[in-house]
Amino acid sequence: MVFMRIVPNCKVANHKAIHFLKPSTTLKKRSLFIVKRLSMLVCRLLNPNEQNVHFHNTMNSENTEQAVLIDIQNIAKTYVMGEEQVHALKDVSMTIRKNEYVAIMGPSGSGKSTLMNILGCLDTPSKGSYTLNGNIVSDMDDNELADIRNKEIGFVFQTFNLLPRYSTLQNVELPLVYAGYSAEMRREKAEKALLNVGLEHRMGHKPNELSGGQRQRVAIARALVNDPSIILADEPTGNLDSKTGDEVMRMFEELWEKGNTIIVVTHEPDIAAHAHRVIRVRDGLIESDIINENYVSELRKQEEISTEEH
Amino acid sequence: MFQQLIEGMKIAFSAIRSNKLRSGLTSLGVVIGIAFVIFMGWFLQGLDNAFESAIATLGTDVIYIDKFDWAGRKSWRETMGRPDITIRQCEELMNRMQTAEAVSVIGRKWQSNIKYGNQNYNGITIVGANSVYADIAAGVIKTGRFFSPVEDNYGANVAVVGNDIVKNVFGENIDPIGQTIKIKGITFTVIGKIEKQGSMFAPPWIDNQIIIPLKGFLNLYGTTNKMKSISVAIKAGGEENVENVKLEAVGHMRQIRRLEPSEEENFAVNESQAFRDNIANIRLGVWAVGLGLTMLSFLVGIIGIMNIMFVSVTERTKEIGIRKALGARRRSILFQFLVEASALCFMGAVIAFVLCAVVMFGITRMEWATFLSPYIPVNLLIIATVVSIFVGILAGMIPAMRASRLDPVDALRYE
Ligand SMILES: Nc1ncnc2c1ncn2[C@@H]1O[C@H](COP(=O)(O)OP(=O)(O)O)[C@@H](O)[C@H]1O
Ligand SMILES: [Mg+2]
Repeated sequence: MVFMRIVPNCKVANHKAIHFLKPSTTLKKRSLFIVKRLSMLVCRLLNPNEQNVHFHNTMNSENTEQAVLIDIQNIAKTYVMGEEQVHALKDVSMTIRKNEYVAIMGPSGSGKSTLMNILGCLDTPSKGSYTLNGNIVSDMDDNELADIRNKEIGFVFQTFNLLPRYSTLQNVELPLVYAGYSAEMRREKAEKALLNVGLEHRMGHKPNELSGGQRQRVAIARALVNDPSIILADEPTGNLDSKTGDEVMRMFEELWEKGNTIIVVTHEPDIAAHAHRVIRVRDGLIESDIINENYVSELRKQEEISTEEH
Repeated sequence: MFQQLIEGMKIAFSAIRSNKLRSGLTSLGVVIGIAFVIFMGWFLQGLDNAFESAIATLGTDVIYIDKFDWAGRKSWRETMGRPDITIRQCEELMNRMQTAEAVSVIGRKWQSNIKYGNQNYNGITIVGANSVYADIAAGVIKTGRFFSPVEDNYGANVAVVGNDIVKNVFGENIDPIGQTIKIKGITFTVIGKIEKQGSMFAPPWIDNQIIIPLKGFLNLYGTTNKMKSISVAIKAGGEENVENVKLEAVGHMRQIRRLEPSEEENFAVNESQAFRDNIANIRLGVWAVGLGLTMLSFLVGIIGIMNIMFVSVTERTKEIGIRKALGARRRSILFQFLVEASALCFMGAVIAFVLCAVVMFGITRMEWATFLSPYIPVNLLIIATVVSIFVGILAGMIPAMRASRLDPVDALRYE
């Protein structure tokens, strides 16, 4: 990575963070970097009361000792449409630690997808800093972002986004192609990922030969295949009936149990109820950030059902 | 890199396969362009081969002391006014030549008659030459032999016949060796048969000739120059000696003809190289026309492919978004579409190869086109393949760049 960063433990003092730039960094990048930092500082000074009140509640008790995976500070995203400016995100800060299970909720148009795209490194913020797993993403160029997406992020989309002409196996292999694995390695890893989602018998099928639930499982296998730091799911159950939706949520729970970090964007309370932490977004701002003690566990449900049957 | 290429090819071919008709139509321009390249190259190669073989029949290191220039700037009136080359002058020159490898007098009588059996045949060229003519420009003896120095010396009644004579007079089924023919009532025995020499640029009579010893020839047609041509063929023995031999021959001829130093030569020194100017012009013509047509069809091809690639990029915006989300760099996407465009062009090239092969085979069946090879030369295949891939890259560049620069978020949202 081009940038190294030391993040002090004190979040509020974040703007004092010391940044080391590699000597090879170009002048343009350096100045851009400094400008970004300064603008952040100005932002803070202008809106002192927008400091995140929820911050200290957000630490999931079971996770406090885990490393910080995502750290976004004062993120803003403005779309310019002709004369008009749309402030999709105004000022969003949060940290997510390793092995958290987070739901991002909010009404339509609140900025969930925008936030998700920034978290997923598909888009860069207009303002603010984003550090993912120690990498300062907000200063990365196109290629670096592509590599980060490839290695650190596993996407699960509402519309599955599988390539229709590719078989299940080929779809799952795709991230490995861009990671530069050999054909044998790709096959091996993809087969393993498909085994994990229980689709080892559907490897040769094309997406249109699979049910919605199966397609989403292929997408999950694809998201997992390159061992990403986070699974990002945008309305993953939006195109599924509630039964297959619950299956997908159980799969996420299993992944969480295995130590994965999961962020689910949804507007459905039922789905958000599965997460252990719920962040509500409204009008481009974080409205609340609470720990969900009584999360719904699909695994527990299943256990209960099977014990009832006996 | 190599792995990317393989991957890119797979993607490209599945994309092409999924849209066969469109792909086929798109590559039509390229098919025509490549076909032009192949045809042009093929024709030029045929032309060159024909030309080289024509030169070979005259001998690449042979000069001919003649009355008329084969190619040249001299006016017809001027050359007509030259004195004839007499047989005495020829013999004088032959005796004086020091540096040449072989020297032969050649007498030619055009449009002669011969008799075989009871049948008369006309329009045949009778050539009188010395025995060394075999080493100069008589062509390759296919069966039998050329006449010996002894037969040359006493003027034996033997004849060596060209390919068309065998075909037209004796017929394919009769072995000409040992057959007798009559020229002006004198009986000659055929002792040798020359391999087919004729090609586009060779003199038309080259296969329709009968070569007999010079002495017999002079007996038949007399020593004067009436109605026949007499010249001297001098083989230099290697192309590097041609200039020296030429100088020597010209020196001797000037002396023999008693020309003053101030006087111009009143005889011609011909060599096969003189034809190079002619062929150069034909080549240039073929090139100009071929190149123009090739360029035009490639232009059409490039526009077509570029267009189809734009459509392909638009159609696959979502796919590009997905690939980018999964970690494809710009370069990978660029590469993918460049490979696809090149694959389209290469496909066009392959279609063109097949088309050309068929048409060429058809053409070479025809009488006038025997100088052309019925096969596509390997070097042309390689050139055409390279050109097609290059054209693909050229046509695919802009669409591929557009694809690679798509914003992943926008691309993913595209329906
Ligand atoms: N590419 C864009 N150009 C302009 N405006 C956009 C774009 N993407 C999102 N927006 C606007 O930003 C706001 C937030 O959008 P989004 O993040 O998609 O919300 P959500 O996913 O919560 O429904 C909306 O008002 C939307 O119209
Ligand atoms: Mg959305």
